[in-house]
Amino acid sequence: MRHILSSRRVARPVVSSRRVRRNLLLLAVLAAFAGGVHAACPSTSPTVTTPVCDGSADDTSALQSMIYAAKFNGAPAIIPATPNGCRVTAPLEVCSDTAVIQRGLLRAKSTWSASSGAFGMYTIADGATDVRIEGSGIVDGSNVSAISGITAGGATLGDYPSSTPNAQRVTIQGMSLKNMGRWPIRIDGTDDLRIDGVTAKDSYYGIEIGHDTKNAALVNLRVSGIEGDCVRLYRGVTESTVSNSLMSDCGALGISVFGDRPAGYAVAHANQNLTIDGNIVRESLVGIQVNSTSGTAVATGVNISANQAHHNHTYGIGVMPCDNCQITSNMTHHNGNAEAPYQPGILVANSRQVKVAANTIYNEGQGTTTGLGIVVLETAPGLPAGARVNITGNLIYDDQSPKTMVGAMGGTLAAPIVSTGNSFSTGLLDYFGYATGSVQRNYLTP
Amino acid sequence: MKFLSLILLLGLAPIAAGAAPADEPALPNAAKAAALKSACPNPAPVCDGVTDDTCELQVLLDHGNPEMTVLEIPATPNGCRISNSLYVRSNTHVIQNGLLKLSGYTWPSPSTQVGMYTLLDGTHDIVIEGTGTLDGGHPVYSTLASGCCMGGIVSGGPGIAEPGVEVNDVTIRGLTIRRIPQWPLELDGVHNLLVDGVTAHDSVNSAAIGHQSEDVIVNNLRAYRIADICFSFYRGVENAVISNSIVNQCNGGGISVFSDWPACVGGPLFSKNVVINNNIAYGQSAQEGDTTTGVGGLDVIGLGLDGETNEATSFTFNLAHNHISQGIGMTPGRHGLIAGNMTSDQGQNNYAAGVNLLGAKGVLVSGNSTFDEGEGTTTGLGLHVGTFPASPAIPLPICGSSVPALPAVTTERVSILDNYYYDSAPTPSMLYALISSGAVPVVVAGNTYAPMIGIADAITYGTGSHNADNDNQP
Repeated sequence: MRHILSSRRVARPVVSSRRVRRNLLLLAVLAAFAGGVHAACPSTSPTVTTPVCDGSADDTSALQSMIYAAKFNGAPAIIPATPNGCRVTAPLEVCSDTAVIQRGLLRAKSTWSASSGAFGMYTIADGATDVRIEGSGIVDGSNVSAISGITAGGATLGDYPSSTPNAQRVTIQGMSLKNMGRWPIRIDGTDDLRIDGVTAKDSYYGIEIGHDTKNAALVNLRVSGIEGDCVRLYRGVTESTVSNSLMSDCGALGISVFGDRPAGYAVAHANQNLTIDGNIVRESLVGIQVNSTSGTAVATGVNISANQAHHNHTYGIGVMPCDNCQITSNMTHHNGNAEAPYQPGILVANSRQVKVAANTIYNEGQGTTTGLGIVVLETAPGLPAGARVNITGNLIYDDQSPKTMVGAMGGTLAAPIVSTGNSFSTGLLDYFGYATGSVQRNYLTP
Repeated sequence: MKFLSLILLLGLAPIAAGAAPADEPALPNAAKAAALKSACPNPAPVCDGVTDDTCELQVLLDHGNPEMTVLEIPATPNGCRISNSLYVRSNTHVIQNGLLKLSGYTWPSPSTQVGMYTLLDGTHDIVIEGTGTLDGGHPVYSTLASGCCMGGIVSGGPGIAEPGVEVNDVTIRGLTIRRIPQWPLELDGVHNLLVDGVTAHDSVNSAAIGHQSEDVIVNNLRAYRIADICFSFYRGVENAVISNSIVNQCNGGGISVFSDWPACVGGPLFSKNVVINNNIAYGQSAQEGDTTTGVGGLDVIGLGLDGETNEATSFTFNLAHNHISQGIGMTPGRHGLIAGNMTSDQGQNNYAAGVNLLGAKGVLVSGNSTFDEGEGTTTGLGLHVGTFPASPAIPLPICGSSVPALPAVTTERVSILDNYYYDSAPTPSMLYALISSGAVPVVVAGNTYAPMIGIADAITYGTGSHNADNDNQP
């Protein structure tokens, strides 16, 4: 039981972060009712003015004219590379059929318009289609508290039923986003999204896609130095992947699949059919987590495979809960520490139909003698018959001297579990409370 | 000489002298035209394939913007030509639209290691991308370059791999790098690196990320006809991923986490936390008439005096086939995962194995399919496990250095679970599904064996081993 309590204790910053975010959402709603900040996308090409981009002048108006005109020109708007970069004081709206190429530096001025609310330095217009924002330049939020990098989702960062996506066919590729007071990227309600090769760092939140975004591929991301979650799939994200990416130094979670029902939203939207594959997540509060708040829609169909999660403050990979999910072919090690004892490599909590197979887990619980391999638990009243948690073919061991791990596998309440074909090193305990009908057939490694 | 005096006066001596300049702030654009006029023969790169464009391109790289320099290598009929390295400073974006070729380069003595693009020590925020080509001009990849050498894109100081060198936030995307007399890539000391969509071929040495590089993503790489390992995480790389890549005809191996004892450098550095996921490594050429076959598929190699090795390597969901020797190997390695892979048709060497574990400690082999190994023989093996043998000291020809005598490494905590071994070839080639060299302490469970030429399981089980719940398939 101790590991449950410790897990809750270290999870508080995450909860706190959510509260902060709900407050931000509320502020965003209020800003929207106050009239917002956006002009509508023009129906004819505006007169284009040339930005100064000397690092001092406010280039907002000129850059906006270039971006609006891009649709009508049929050519991308190029944010130029200049000696000292361009400066903006308000969001740049990106409309349908527009490509922006970020060649140089785009930095927010400290006089950023507070009324810009939750909008990003690039704000993809509501309902926009076929938008590309790419390049090898840098988008710098100057640590202004209200600023995000690239957003889509309208004034409220929305609540979009999946049948009516906000934006469609959006590509964000290649740039670096840093020093954001909020999200480097926050995309809501978007169908057909690709975020590729982006670096996000030194910001309050991380890269977040949410609110019924679907068909999203997040790949080749480098995310670090984030106070919240480095990458988050939030509320109703479906048919999406996070792959080939590196997350480190995340104050909350490395990769988070999270569902809740914020105040003011009528229904909870489940995350489902997601793949988290081939990533390395380290030195964060938690490595990879699928979670939802009590009473909201539970995530389903999440495949977590071929990742490495190591040196995280608490556990490596956790689903709590996740139904019809699998955790396969991952490697976890060196998760948990003296401040967070009884942490496992893999945690399955309150979940149904979960397969945990072919993972290598070793040397967990650094600085303690309480490290754990795989933990399955149910808060109450116990994992029911039919829950079908299947733990097969994993290798769990501690080859250190002195050892830091106490248990290979465990849970606090009697559970109907199939635990077969796992091997774990001598001295580690299997302390599952195997309920009637369980199958247990494991091996000690010599 | 007059030209040299001019460039010395302008502080551009490193261009001509071949020594790397420091990463100092670049001059503003306003100085660009004047610098070109003063320092170089032409006011702009000619890019006719004959004229040496080194000076002009270097000046354009140097005289850019403090916040971001953009250099476009133009697409011209015969390409641009350089005779020395182009040195890249911080906040630089190179767009390689056309061909950049090397000729007339003289290797300096004492040697410094450079590339056609050399990322200067201490630089950051560098992007080199495009659909163009870097051509090193080396005619035959399997023949070492005379006088040696020039790489494609390199970092790591004059000697490469120098301690303390650090380059941050680098992206290399989309280029083709070919006919390089040394490495297509040799990126050392790079933190936060993305290599995406690069093709490297017909080159002498590996495309390598090495020497204290960390936080590395390699994706969509195509590497072939390399006289060394096609791609290597080489000595001391941490937190690195290679995925969705295809390597073939690699004379030293396909994808390797590799550590050695290089001449003149000293002891090995070991890598850790590496993911090798969803790649294809194959030996034989895809081109008609090319009979070259690569040696090995995917492996972890390297050993220190006290038995230290590379750690925490995951091989997941890869294909490795048609190599001379093994498909996937840890020889030796510590903390490993070999899961969900498919190996087949390794052969030519007698007793070639789909998976080869020598001196492996803490390794799970699970959920793999291994079939038709030993092509052209009757000695194919599914999985081989055993002790990594001790080796004697080996003198190296330069610097008075040597690879010291290294200890034997025993196998520990190897679990072989839920794999499928079969031979479906018209003429069977697999002798055993599982075999060991000597007694090994292993767990073998849940595997399925179809009929082999010999017995399916030829492991000699050491004390404490388990051999249970395996099945023969009719």
